[in-house]
Amino acid sequence: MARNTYFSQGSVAEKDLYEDMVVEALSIYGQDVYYIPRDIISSDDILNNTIESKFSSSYLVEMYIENTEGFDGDGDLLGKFGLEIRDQVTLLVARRSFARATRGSNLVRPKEGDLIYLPLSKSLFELRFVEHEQPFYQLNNLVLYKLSCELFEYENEDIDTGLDLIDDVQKIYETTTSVGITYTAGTTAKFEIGEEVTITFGDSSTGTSEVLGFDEDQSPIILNLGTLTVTDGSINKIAPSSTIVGSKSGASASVTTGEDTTSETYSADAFDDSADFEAINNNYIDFSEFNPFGEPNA
Amino acid sequence: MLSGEHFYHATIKRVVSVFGTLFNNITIGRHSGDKISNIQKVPISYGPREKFISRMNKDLDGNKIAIKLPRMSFEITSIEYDTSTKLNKLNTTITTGTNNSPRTRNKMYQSVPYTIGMQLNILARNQEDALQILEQIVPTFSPEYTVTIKDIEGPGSKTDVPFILNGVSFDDTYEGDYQGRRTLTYTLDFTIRARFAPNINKNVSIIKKVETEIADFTNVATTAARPMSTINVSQDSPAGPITTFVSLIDPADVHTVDLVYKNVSLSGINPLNRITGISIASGATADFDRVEDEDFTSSLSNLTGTSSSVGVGAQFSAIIDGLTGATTSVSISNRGEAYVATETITISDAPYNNTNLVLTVDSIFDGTGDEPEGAINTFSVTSGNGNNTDVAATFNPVFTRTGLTTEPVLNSPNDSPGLHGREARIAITLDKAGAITGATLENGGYDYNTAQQIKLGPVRLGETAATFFLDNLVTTGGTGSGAQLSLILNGQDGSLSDIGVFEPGSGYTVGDDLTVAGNLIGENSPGESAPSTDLVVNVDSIDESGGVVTVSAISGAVGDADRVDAKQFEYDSPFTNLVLNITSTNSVPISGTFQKSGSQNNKPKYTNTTSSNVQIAYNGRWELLQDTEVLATNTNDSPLYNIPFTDWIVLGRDTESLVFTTTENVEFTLGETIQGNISSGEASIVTSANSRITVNNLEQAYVEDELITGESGTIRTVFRTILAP
Repeated sequence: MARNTYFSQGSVAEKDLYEDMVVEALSIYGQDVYYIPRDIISSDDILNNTIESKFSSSYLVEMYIENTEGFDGDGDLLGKFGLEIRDQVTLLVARRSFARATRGSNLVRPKEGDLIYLPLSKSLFELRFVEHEQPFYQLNNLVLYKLSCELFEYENEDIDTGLDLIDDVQKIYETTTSVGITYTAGTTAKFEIGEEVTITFGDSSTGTSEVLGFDEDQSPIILNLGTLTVTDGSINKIAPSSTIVGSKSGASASVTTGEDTTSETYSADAFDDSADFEAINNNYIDFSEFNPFGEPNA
Repeated sequence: MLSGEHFYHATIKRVVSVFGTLFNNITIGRHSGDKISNIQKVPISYGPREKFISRMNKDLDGNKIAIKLPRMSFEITSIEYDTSTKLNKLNTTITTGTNNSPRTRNKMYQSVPYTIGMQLNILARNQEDALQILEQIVPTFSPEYTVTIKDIEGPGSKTDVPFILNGVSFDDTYEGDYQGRRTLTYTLDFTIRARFAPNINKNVSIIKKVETEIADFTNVATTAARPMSTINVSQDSPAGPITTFVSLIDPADVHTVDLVYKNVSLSGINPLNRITGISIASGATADFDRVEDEDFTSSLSNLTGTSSSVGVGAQFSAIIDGLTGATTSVSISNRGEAYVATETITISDAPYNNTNLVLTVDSIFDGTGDEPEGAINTFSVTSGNGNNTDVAATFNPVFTRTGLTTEPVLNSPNDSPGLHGREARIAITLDKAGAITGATLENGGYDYNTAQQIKLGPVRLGETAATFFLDNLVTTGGTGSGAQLSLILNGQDGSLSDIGVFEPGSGYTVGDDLTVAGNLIGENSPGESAPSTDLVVNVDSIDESGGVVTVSAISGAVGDADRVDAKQFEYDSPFTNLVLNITSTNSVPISGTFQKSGSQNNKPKYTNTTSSNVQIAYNGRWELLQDTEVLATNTNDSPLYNIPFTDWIVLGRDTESLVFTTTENVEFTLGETIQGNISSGEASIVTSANSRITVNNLEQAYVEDELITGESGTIRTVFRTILAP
């Protein structure tokens, strides 16, 4: 038996009124957050992982935080791998607001894997799941996305949204390689934080990296670089014969002190003991053994 | 129980550290064709840690992420006894004794084998990250990898420790709803064969001599078993019977021992008559000249005032001139809130209670930045910052002068003609008005008498020098041009003390009158009390180009207070001495003790070379004591250094005779047996001369400063021992 057509399940005007009220309510009770879409540069179709991702844009959109008494999840935990924060949050965003905020982009809906930056708590969340059918067709329409998010597990992805408060995540957490440099004589240009640099290794092969910071009070000047990218298939170390050229500033420098894993400047990671192990084990491990049958010629 | 002695080889800590080193340099990257991006080293840490340390450095207001991946961690999972590698527990390891004596060794029993289970965990989000880490680890272990670790079985030991990879397991929680996180963990289980060493028995004596008697049981039937005192060796042995099997006393073990005499007495130096007490007699009253160069700047803080409107909370600090009480500058320490521009703030708390300090608010913050609305941005001082005796009264400094050498007041009571006392030094304190508030003795000097007086001149008290110099004084008059003069004026009355030519100029003739205008030498200054007087000089001689060579004064050379007034606070008069009474002196004769505390070894000697210079020859370190007070020291270690008496006793007594006495003047005799009191070493004398003996049959090396006693009762102190090559 067909549906009784004498009872309306929502006229166009009623649907619009309902959506207007939802949008207005979220505007009143919501928070401004930054929606940061993930650009997948390459992916692995065998192990089904992304190989390289980048976050290069952001959209300000209001969302309602469904959690009223703090974040869900397990909170701050000390585990095998050090401090881990397992905050979860559920956000509501009106479909119309989302479309308005992202107009001009090719985003049609919030996507799993994208990031949401919550300025309120300075938290960078990753979108785990988008529930698109709640509330369930009350007036035969759907006006909301319900976003289940969890704090982002950072893997040295490039974050270049142009907003310092978001881009700082990369500066703080990206694995850092520190080298000592001397600017090429006769040039006045200095490296700029965030610019891409081209590194020419001793064997004339090249790689690229990003400037995360520098300390000009040191001698030689300490330059902090992000993770390295090479295109010839072999991983080189930044040794004293290497040169570094900035793509934006045009600054050029030669490396005087290569990357050093025994130094605490190697990484800002508070839970990395690599340098401590390296330093103390010069006293513990015996390197004096030799081959009783003679050492082979080099 | 057990050994009762503390020991700790840090075996597990070393194993943990070495385990971390195996995996602390693993690099991974993301491969896409020939392109490798995100090249990074994988962080590793020992998992267990103090909770508060992991949390206390967290920036609670910083950007938050869940965790940085990939990363590795490891921890100990088990410690079990290893029955498969047990060795005889009575095995011992012998090493050189801690005291490096040829007679002792360190001994340690067999270490105990244990297996330590270690678990290495790899946490990643990207499957290939984890696989890259895993595949760089696994090939190294087949299934073990051996590392040589130092010192876990005692100092200097090297122990091969196998690290065995037992297997790899992993956990990948990719199934389930979309809200749950995927955790990708690889777990590598290792077994490490370690050894725990027991305590080290330090400096155990070596068995030096063993005598054995062997019983002949073949004749038991006829007589009781009897000791056989000799055995004959048939091959590769000395021809005679061997009666002593082992003797570890090596005839080459010859020691040479340096000896010293200690506690050599000294007597015969006349009393020094040092000052031990002083009191101020006169000259302590205020004289500002003594402190005029001091810094009188002071500050007041936490000043609050009453607003003419509704502003509250502002606090100020003021820099004041402690002399006049003028407020020279005001700064703000708390900007407060609710102030409005142009309102006034009246500070009426002490010391501004009689004359209030009034400030005017010039501009405020609007509340859009970090500062609250109405917080004071800029302000100015309106009134109340002039000279203020209440403010000046808050500044009460104590100025100190130290190391001030005194002069005797001649013909004071008990002053000895020709011997007035020398070298006494005192320290004084002054208040801001220049009054002397205290005088203390720093050095008592010598040759003083009780009730005698000493004094400090005004310059030592802080007043500036009694003359002042003026250069570049341009002259007018005469036939030439360009002559400039230099003057020295008396700082007390402004009269001319000396005159010279600064620039000769040219074209002058003898007899010219040159005039230095009065304003160049301090005349015409504000408040002058006498008519302005120029200085006029006569050119006495010239050179071939007419340059002035010498001049003499004609007029204006007499005293003129204006010249002095122009240097107010620098050259005003009068000068005042501080006179002190000597209330007590020390007249005890010096008879002290020479103590040797350094290297080298010779008897102390003295040589009276002249009537005025006593020299002591002693190549070592010396102290000259009077009771417990150190009168002089010598730290020169050069052999046979002749110390001029005046070098190390600066008290000026240079005509006295010295007597050294010691009872330890008996030498050891050849062949005498000597015994130490610390090392229990016993030896016999081979040679003995000049504070040096050579011994052999030494049981144990003597140590520095130990006393050794001979059979004859002679006692000497060991300076050092030298093992004969």
